[in-house]
Amino acid sequence: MLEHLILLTVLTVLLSVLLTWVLSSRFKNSRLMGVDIHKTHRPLIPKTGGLALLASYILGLLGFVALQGYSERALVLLLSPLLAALIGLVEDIREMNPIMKPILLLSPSLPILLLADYSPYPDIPIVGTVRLTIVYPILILAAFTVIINAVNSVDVMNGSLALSSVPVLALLAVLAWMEGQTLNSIAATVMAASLLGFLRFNWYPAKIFAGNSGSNLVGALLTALAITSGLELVTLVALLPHILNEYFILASIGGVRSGKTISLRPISLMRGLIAASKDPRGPLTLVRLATSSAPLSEPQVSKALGIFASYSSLLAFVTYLLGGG
Amino acid sequence: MRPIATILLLITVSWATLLAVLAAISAIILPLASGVEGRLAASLLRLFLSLSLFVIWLAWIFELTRYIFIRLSRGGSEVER
Repeated sequence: MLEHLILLTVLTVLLSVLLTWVLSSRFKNSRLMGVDIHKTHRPLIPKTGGLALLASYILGLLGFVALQGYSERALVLLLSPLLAALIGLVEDIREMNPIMKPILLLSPSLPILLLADYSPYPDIPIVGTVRLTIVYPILILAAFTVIINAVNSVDVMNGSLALSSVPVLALLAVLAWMEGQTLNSIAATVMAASLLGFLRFNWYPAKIFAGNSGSNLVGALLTALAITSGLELVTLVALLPHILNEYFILASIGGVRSGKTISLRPISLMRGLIAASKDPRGPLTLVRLATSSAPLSEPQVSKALGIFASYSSLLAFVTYLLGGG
Repeated sequence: MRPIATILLLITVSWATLLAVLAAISAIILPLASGVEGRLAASLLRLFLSLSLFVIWLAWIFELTRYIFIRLSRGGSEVER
């Protein structure tokens, strides 16, 4: 089993590097290009990295299924992230209504709900096992929208999606393995491997962006892993920086609005460095907080987001040790 | 590096207070709701009180973060001067 895991990880990293390189150098469709606003010369960059992540993740997981056999869990771990990535791809091509997006993001929860791949008796540290037979399916619907948007909210700098997601995926891979959930562990490892391959071209100065398809893919997989592994609270703690960041934005702008309709930006570019906006009405984000006393370079901000995710993953491990998921 | 350390502290405070919220649900809300007659009424009361506590926790974290941001920004401006 461990040999399969190592082999799949190496092959997925190589496949992700190859696909990301092909998409970054060969694919120049104008509808899937985005401006890198944190560079003084504002270059146009392909935002198709999510497709490379999706393809390498699906092929990596299918490789494991071919070796170990099919299960309904495999279908959930393939379909939920796939649906979320496709919604993200549509959003990358055309602007989406900010009310419509959260509604569409309920659909990645359908494979879990239809296949009933969850336990409505979650084991919460300190509280113990609780009975949530009616509320739990509603919480599943909400969880996908919240976590996907939270992961999306930290994908703002070159390399930040990979650096802020890999520590959480690594934690879930280890805990799922300890809980005997081999397929979940493999899925988390394969996604982490895809992100590491992608990081080779997404690191500063980025040659490709993940786009909404990439961040939706990662967010949906994290949610599906949390629910199917029974590690709901542990994942919530590991994703504290992401969730707090999303919540701070919503609280400071006063509700759900499209980012393009907000004129006040949380940060600005000052002599090539990222500086916090001085306007008190600007949205409050982790990046604005990190740059509040002095401007930082883009790689420094990305590394800081990686440090926050690593630290919260450590706290999540302590939470797990306090008693169950 | 001061803001990075402060954010790590903020994450720690958020985590510790989240566990405190869970302890309050376990020690106060669940026993309180179990005394209510009728299963549905008890479930609804449990849900309402737990969600209220989470909303208060979120609002508190946001105010704390805003206070930290103002303090850090002022510190940065004083250094610039």
